[in-house]
Amino acid sequence: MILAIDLDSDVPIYQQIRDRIVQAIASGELREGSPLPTTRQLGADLGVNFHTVNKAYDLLRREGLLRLSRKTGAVILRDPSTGAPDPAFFPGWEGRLGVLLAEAIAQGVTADEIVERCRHQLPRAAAPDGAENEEDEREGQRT
Amino acid sequence: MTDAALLINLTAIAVAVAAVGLLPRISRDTVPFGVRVPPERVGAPEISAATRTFTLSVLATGVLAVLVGLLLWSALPPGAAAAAVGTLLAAGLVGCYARAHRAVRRAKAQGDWYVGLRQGVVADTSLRTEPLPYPWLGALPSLLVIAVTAVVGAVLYPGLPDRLVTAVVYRGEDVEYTTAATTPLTAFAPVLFQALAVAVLLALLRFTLRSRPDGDASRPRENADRHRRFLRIWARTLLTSALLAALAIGALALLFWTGAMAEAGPAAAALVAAPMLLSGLVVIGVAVRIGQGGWRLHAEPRDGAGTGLVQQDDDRFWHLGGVVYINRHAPGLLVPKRASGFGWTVNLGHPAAWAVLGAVALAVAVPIALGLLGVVDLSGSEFYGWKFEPETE
Repeated sequence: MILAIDLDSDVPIYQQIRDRIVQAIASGELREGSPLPTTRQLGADLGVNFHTVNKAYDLLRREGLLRLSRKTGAVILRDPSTGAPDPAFFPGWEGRLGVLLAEAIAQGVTADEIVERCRHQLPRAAAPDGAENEEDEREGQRT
Repeated sequence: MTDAALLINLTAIAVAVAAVGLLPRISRDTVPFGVRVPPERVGAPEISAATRTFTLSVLATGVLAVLVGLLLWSALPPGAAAAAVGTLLAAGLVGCYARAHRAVRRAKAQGDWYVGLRQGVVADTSLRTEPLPYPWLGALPSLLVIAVTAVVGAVLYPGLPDRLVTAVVYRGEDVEYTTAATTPLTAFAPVLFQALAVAVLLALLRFTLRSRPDGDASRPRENADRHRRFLRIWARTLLTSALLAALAIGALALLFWTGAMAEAGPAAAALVAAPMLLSGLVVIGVAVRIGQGGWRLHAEPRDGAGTGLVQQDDDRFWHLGGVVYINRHAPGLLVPKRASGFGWTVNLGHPAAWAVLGAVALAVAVPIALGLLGVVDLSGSEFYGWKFEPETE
């Protein structure tokens, strides 16, 4: 898995690491049982403090996506094929979704357009990065 | 000066000029003369001009060193002449590089080359979760050569004379022999050198297979593919180099044990020098062909239009023209070299760096100190091989 961090982004680095791993799980790049580097290894490769990586891994652990153990290291705990999530997942996720929707509504985006954009975005979230890049190129060529 | 000594001196100048002259080819295109530039600036006219000027000035420095050398070798003692020519050459080559480095830095600063670009860093997690396995099978030939050399030595040892010729010194027409009393240590010293040389190369391989790669945030997948190919090529290169070094020292051991070192004449040195030289040339050849970190290798396009990021501009951590790296906040002890050729360099800002450098310094200083105190004999009696010295008047 390629993990790219935008150093000029307002999003903190640990959040970018967490988000990128979540995207990789969603796209199938990482599956249940897939290992991740240790915090020190990933920190060294990215040139960031290992505490930053630790913070990202801890977020994923609390979300039930990562298992951390001294013996096996960091291992992906679940993926889309694992089954339905714990019901406790939905309140937090719906809360964040509510904020995202409110942002769009506040900017004047209509409900139909929101639904259409979600429909467009959903398969991209589940696609491997290569397929997403090819689709972007085709869109670019059409426009 | 003898012909052999002149040839050696001229070869040394040629090698130094070639090594420095080839630096732009070995270094990444996005790090010309130790200065990080965005990918779209790689072909900038300022960089092309700096490269042209650098190449011509390096060649001119080499020619000047030869001319000055021809004057000094006839006027000064050999040691003084070599030191003077060496110093002039080193200063000249460093000056050429420093000038090119400043030219690119100036162009980058004046052109604001990073304005409006999003900088990033990238990691390929599969390098850690699915690392390349250590090629133990490839290491077997070197280990076998060491084992065979040791067995041959053990078979020949009982029949060795009381003193062994360890070195032959050719001084003009005169030939001098250095001998040592035959003991297990002196007799098997070549085997120990052989084992040490191979062990160092195999350890270097182990380290480089796990080292931090040089990232490219703009085209990370292609860079990751290149890096894996680089590691496989580098492994084969180091294993070949280790085998050639083992064969060279094995040949030296055979000449040593059979007494042929004293009888065979200076041509016997070629039997040892050729594979040893080839061992170094293989590494240099690969470095020139594929570049630092394998950046010259072809990679199938996998990043589409790119990530929209450029690799982080970390010039502020590189000093002395991109040769020295100091970053207290970087977690890694070793980082890919930027300017001084092929390989990795120590992060002097890392706490462990000074421990490593201190250990190396002690390893050098302690024997010297013991020699100066008379505890250890450093007169060169343990030198194994051939020397070609100018005729004494």
